[in-house]
Amino acid sequence: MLKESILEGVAEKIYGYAISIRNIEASLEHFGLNLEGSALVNFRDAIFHYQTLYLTEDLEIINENKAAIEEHLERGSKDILIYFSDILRKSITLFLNDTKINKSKENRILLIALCNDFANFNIDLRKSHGRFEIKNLSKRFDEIIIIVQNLILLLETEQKTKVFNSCVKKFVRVRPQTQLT
Amino acid sequence: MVELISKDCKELINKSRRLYEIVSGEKISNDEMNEKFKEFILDKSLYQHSEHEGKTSIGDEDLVPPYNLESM
Repeated sequence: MLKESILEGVAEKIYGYAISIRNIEASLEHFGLNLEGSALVNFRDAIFHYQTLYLTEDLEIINENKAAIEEHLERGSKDILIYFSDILRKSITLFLNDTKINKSKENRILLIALCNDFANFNIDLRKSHGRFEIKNLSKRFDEIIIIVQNLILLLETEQKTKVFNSCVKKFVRVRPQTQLT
Repeated sequence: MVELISKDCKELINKSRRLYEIVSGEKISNDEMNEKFKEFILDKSLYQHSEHEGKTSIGDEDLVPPYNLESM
């Protein structure tokens, strides 16, 4: 019974993690970028521990694997959110330096403030540690949604959005993705 | 599976979907999202490792790939 309830709880965490990673992947695909390797590697490793957990009846091994799964999910979700927000922060810097688009002084100040928001989000995420909890990840999504929403509002016009998207595209990897085989 | 998940998990899924919708400006239906999710889960490359290598993450050098940023 104990094992079953642990299995259910862990399965839900893996499911929540996987579907949110897939949605971040779709967001990156929108800019022509690939998913960063750590999210997939940690997903794969979490699945491995889930298989071990599923097959054992030893309480110690069950607890070890539960903790390992949570660690992988925590690490993977942190890495991908840091990667995603870092790309957007650096893209804002490129966008600010782009001379093709005129930006008002107020617009520039607000964009620089957004850069700081992304940087603070990153630092906060890097400093945080602990078990993977769905509620915590949800909270992180709340934070990044607000920053991204403000960014979209600041881009205002279709032309600006186009230039910004071209800035993001500069972060396309120049080497093949990490091979998982 | 979707019916069995908790309120918190549903909320997480909706938030991650919202992020995609904001970035892309497109709406995504539940069916589309589930379909994409299946593709993601069934991606063979994720299951090709039968042995765990003790790696919890790839190295920092992989996290910060060499960007093509000559213009920066």
